[in-house]
Amino acid sequence: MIIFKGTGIFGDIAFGILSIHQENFESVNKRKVSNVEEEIKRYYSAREKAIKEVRTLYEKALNDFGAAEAEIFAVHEMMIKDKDYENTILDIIREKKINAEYAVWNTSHKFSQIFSKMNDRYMNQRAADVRDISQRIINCLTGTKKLLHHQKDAAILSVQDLTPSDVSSLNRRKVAGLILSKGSEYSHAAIISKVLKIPAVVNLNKTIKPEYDGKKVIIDSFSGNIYIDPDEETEKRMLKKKEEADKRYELLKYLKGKENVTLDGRKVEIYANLNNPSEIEDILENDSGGIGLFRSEFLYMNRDSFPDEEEQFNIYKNIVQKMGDKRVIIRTLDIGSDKRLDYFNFPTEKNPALGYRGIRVCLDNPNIFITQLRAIYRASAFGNICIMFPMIISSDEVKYIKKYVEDIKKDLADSKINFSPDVPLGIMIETPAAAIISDELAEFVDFFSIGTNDLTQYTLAIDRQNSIVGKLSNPHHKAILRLIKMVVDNAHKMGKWVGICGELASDESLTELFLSMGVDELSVSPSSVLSIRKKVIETDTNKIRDYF
Amino acid sequence: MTGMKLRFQKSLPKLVIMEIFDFTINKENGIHARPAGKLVNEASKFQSNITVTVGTKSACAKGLFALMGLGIKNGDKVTIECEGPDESEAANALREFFQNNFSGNNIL
Repeated sequence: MIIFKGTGIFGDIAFGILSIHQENFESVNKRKVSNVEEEIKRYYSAREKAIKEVRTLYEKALNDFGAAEAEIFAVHEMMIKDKDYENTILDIIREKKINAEYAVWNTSHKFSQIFSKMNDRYMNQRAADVRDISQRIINCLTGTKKLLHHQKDAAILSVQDLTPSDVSSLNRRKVAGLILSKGSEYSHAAIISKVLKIPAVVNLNKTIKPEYDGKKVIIDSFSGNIYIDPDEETEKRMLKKKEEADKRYELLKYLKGKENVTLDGRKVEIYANLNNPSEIEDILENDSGGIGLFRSEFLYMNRDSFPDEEEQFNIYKNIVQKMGDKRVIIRTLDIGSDKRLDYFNFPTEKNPALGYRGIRVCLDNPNIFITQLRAIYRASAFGNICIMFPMIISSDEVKYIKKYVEDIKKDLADSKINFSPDVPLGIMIETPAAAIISDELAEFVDFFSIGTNDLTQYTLAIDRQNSIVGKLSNPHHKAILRLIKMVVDNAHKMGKWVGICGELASDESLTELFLSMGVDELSVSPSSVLSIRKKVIETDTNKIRDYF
Repeated sequence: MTGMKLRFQKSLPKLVIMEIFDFTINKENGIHARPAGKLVNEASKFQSNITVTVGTKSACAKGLFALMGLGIKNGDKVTIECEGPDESEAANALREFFQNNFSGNNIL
């Protein structure tokens, strides 16, 4: 057995026969021509033919893959028609009195180097596009067709890189997997492999020798491993992994669109946490019911000054619009402790976890707080926003916050700026103090969200980043579970809803307990939404063991 | 920043009148293949010479390879010069084109 390692694209396992394709682009015949004008005519007729071909490919790709992937062939047409490219080819034919094939090949080399030398991985991949269009013109000149000749079923193709044209000529029923020894995760082939759900491994650590052609091969695009001539044990292991993968994809397909309801009819909302805007696609793709914890810190990180109201407003607006009528719970800035900003002077503290952080910083710096709240309220006109405040320990803080909120609402109304007047306001329950007085706090807010990571560290007095005591931390500690129950009961007594964000929300061993307590919402990472849904659907809260 | 300006052309030591404006690119991948293609289409509608400059590199906006070769990235400031019979129409159209395609309205 020989093992190769690369980067896996689209997690799956493929079994098949290795079919190796040699690049023949490097060999183009060079010959002198006597009639230069005749050669130029040959070039132009090949160019016309190539343009027709890419137009056909565009139509085909549009049908097979969709507009975004088809677009590359529109770019190919423009590349073929590019004046600089054309003139370079004509100059070579004229000056060197040489055949058109060679002139195209030479030009291709020159132009592809522009891209392969650029310091940008995306642009490097465009060198493949130049070679693709040039090969197409050469084929039109010589009348040959370069086809991927994989006649066998379940072929696993191994090539240096696939051009977009190669990919669109693939027979999807015959190709089980792709190995691109050079390509990167930014190449078209890699992107299309994801769209078509063909497992691929790209960017290998060593070259696959031609003598491996026809051998049995397994590719694991979860790990990026390729096994040529796999031994029995590996084959068994991979079959099992394939079975599990199939089950998971089936499950996800089956779970999408389902309600989060237990066998005995209890419903729960499953939302996702958002750390930065790039996660929004994932959040929607995994069928999240909303955003349960919008960590607004990304707006403030990696820059040299505070974001202004306009900038914040645009970002909030954009995200809530993408979420449609789904709830987006924005947590106001939670800096301090381990999260610091380069442009804000934090005091030196002996114990920052118990120090200047969260709402304490905001209430102490009204400008930061008001700017953020105004931006959120303005965005509330465009979707379903809730606001929650971190690190609360007293109802005075909540009253104080609500005064700010009332002022901001009045200001916006006076300036005739649109906003939603009934944005639900909630607080994080992450200090034992807030949990213990949650009966009192429930009077002043619309909802609670229990932040289990901090609640655990403050309740157990264990710093989870301290390697000496960190291992003593037990989020299943009775004290934590009892506090959570207390908070849920106190909220429900006042008719308020409770969510859990933080790691415990995605802990499947506690899902049934949370359901039996009557937790209204769980906010987890986007990739956990559907597995928690599965757990919910299988739970009967009448049959719950005793946790206390 | 924008408007009619007098400028020395780089190669010729004579004064020419042209339309010129600056624009800061606010788009995740900068001007890569597809947006470059759109820009070429837009620029090709006009007779004027249209030049895009970033840093010390310039290219004709009607040439796809030349434009892509500039490697314009997110955050780069580009200068667009239009010179010719329809330069003010070209400058207006391109200003709008850059606004619509590279102004970061779509932050996601």
